[in-house]
Amino acid sequence: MFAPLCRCLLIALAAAGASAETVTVAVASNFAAPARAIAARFSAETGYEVRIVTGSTGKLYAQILAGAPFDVFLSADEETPARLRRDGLAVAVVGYALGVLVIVSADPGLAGKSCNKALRAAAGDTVAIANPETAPYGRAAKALLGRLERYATLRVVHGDNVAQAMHFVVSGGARFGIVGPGQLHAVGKAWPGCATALAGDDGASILQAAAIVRRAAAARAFFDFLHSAPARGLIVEWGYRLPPGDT
Amino acid sequence: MSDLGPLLLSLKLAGLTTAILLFAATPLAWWLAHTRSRLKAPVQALVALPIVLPPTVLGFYFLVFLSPNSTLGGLWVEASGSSLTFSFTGLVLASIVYSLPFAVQPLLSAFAALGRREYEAAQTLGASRLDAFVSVVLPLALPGFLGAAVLSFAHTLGEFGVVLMVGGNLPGETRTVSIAIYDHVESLDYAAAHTLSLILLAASFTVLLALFACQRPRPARV
Repeated sequence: MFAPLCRCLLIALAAAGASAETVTVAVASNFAAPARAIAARFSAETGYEVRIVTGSTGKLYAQILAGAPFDVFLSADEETPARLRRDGLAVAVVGYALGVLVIVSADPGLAGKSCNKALRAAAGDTVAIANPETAPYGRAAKALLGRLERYATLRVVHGDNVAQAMHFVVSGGARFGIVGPGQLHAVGKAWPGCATALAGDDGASILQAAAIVRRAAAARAFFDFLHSAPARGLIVEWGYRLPPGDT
Repeated sequence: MSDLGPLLLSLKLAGLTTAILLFAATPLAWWLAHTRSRLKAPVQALVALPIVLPPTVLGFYFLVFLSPNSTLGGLWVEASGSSLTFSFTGLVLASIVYSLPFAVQPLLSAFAALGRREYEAAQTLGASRLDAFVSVVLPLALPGFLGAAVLSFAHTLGEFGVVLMVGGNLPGETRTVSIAIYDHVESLDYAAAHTLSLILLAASFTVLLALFACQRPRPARV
């Protein structure tokens, strides 16, 4: 039984050895889909390969502290990259996108309606949000539910990050979800229920900043590419706005 | 197919871990099978610990002990220049501990059932201890070795919690099949999650089928 095993090992080793220069980008889950689109464009233009690692901002931060080999970090807030810079673990920090909270529901009965109004009227329903301890979108969602005084009437469940909160909604486990713009587009046009992006004046506007974690030419190239015209186009296309002073 | 990477990575991890475990677990199981030392029970409990310990606990300790801020992790960084956490090497180390009981238990049963008679008879006939082990014990305990190999391979293949804690989900480095499935579910790519899950299901069944087919009762040896 060892001969086929050895062959598999050799193939795997050969596959692992053949890699061009890569940039490893740690991305907060809300921005995973747009980051993949930006990375594809970046690779096509520069020839660098991009490895994307996703997770909640807090988890990625903890991984960077523990020595994770990330080159660039696309956070879901601006505090975490700033903290990394204070820790001496990041160099340049700059805002790349302005996100908003998006309320979603896969309930076909809510098709064509406002998820925002439905959530305010809901009672006894389950709402999925990202873990407020580790995810900025979870923190913002928790604050929103607090402001709406919905905590007593709704059952709030926490996903590891916004992507998992969205998964709870898609799989039918939760009637509502409070997620990011990146989740909205990921489900495509065939969405059965409602999806409502909150206006920024709801206090739900989230400035997201990027940081260079490892000084390398490839990291700098990707970091700079975030502000190129094609990347900005993709950021807007995915439902984010450009950060203030960056138009 | 973009999921070939995680599949190959998992096979590489499971293959390497199994190979190392077969070497490491053999003397340990042999000692456990025959020792009268008072250390036997504590060592046995220690070896079996990963069976009952939540993978998050194991993963958390690995994260602490392998991190560049720890003694072991720091020494490794000095020696090799790279971190043990979030690396394939770190995953191999973690998997060896995680799957150790699955290699030791079948070997221990095989050695205990075999007893020492054949081994000692070979020695009285002039064989060295190593020779007696390799040419007498090894062939007789082959089903045990097969069981150990199959179980540690399958167990490592399905490893999730520990990899999630110490791996960091790096494509080509620590994104194993089970992590890739988790990732696909999160990114709502259920089709890809189904494909990988089905492959793992089929692989696990095949591996177990092979194991049980090989372990048909053999004619008793006298």
